[in-house]
Amino acid sequence: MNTNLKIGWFYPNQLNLYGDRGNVEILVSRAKSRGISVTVDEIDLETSLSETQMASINLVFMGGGSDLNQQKVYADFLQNKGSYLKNYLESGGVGLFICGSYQLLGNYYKLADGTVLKGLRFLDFYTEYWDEGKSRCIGNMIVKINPSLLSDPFFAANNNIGDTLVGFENHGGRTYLSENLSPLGYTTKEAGNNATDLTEGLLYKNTIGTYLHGPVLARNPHLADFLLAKSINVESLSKLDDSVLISAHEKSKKLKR
Amino acid sequence: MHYNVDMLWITSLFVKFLCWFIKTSRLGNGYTWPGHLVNKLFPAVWNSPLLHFKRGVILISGTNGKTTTSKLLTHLLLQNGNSVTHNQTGANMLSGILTSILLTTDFWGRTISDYAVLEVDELTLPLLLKRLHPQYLILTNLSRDQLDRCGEIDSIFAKWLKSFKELTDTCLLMSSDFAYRDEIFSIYKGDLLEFDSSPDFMKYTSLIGRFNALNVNAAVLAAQKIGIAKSNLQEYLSSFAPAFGRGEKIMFEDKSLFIFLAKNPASFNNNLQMLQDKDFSYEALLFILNDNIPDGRDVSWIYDIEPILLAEVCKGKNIYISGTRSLDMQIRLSYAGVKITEDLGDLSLSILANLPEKNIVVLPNYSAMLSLRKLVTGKNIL
Repeated sequence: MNTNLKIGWFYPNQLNLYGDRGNVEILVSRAKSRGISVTVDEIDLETSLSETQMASINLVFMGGGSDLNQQKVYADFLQNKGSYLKNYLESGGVGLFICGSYQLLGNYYKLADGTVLKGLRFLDFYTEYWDEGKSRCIGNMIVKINPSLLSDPFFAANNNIGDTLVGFENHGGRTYLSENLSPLGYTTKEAGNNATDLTEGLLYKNTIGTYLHGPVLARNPHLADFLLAKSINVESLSKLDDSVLISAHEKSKKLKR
Repeated sequence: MHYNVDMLWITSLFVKFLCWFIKTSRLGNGYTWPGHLVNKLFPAVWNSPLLHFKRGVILISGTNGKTTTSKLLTHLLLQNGNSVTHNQTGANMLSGILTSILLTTDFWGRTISDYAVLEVDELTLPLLLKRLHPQYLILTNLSRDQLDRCGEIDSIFAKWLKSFKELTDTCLLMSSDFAYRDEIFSIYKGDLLEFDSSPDFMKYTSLIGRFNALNVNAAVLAAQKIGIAKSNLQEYLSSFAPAFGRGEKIMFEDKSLFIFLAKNPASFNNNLQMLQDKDFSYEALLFILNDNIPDGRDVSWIYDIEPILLAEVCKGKNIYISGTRSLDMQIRLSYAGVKITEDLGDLSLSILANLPEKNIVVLPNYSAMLSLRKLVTGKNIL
């Protein structure tokens, strides 16, 4: 058991859209409520990441960003930080990647103007901008969680919500997973990854990618606690009073798109 | 379609009738759809020489501050003895602007104002610049707001830059801490002036907060360029009343409600900063968060509110919440370490009247501010 949590927050200044930084605030708050000591390492463009630093991190968070800010970080991400991150995630490190940063884990992201940003090629998927003239994927979203995550003992032990995630999607890119990759969950009528195959997000080992903002952890305490439990390797965390969050989660299912 | 200028009087009469009808039949605010109809049916109305303002057009755009700045400048010009067309209801897209312009015309549809002072929605600005030629363009700032409607601010700014390249004889007035200042300097061909947040002029008004100092200085700079003597400004400014919901004080029964519109991270954090700096007493805070169309459906932005500042401002006060997304606000407050006193549910006069506190600061987002004002004053804006 490891009751020290170190969150590696990648590009807090460039990749923070729609209150995504709230995910870090929520993780820190929920960890502290359990008496877990938390530090947050902000890893920015100027940070020269080392193997030692990476080894001390047990939860990685990366938020969403505008196309322009994705362009600002992606070169540094691929050249200076990518290989550390790849090893970390491949060996089962816990990571949460939202929207723009989720896209950067794949093969490439083709922007609206045709520019192609190379991805980390950590996993086999790609993202392309919606055809010109089509609107962005915007709206409230309910996601049915992938059964393989639901049955993960670390998820099940901390699940006080059920089999759904709620949040808000707002993206221009459509993401296509290769056949051997699993999504985080499934949508019914919302766009999710690409508005065609009803998948949403990505689930690989302890890596989670998603288009959900809200921020995603705000009304999904089960997901927050899964990430915390995995990071410190404690299967079941002590219970918090989540009654308001549970009500908010339920109420969110009735929101207009 | 060719627009016959002789038709202008019929068009303006039509708009006046519609606005009167909407107002008397209590259908709503009614400043949007008369202009919308005219814009759709007679788009060439914009080319009409009768829409030419004698002394000029001043446009104000940006994420925050445009309502207060345009109200300030209108006030200064009116005090100076000028007549002004101003979209004071805050209807700041093409339709609402057209309604405001056509409402201040004579029987023949000719404008009767010396100046038009118009606040303009950020996305509408490039469209309006194609239709109306401003002598002055004031830019307050550009930050995240209603991203589900506006898209990314970088893309809004790209549209701004494209339309600014075509302006040559418009004088641009820009905040000195405007995020895209350098980009504008590198492409702008016309005159460019800057205003800052020094409190020299704000001290003559009842306004508070650094962000309001920027608004005051923007209006003062434009007024001085237009030719209002510096010696008159102090007197004019001292009679200024804040725009609706922007630091407005409303007396209700035995209570004072201080209403500070908080509709996006920048305005929310500005208001919190001001509450922390300013030594005025209040016993309670009421946060009202809605997710209606004018607010944007996405409330994620509340996590861009500075948690430490939020906790400091709430310390020792009673905390109330309301609005369609009050639960989201409750959760956001709790992660900042703030416990709420009560969720008031749907606000009513009796709920407000029964609150034990005398001085209550209200931080509502847009539609929440409009409905609160209507509730306590009994009428719509205008």
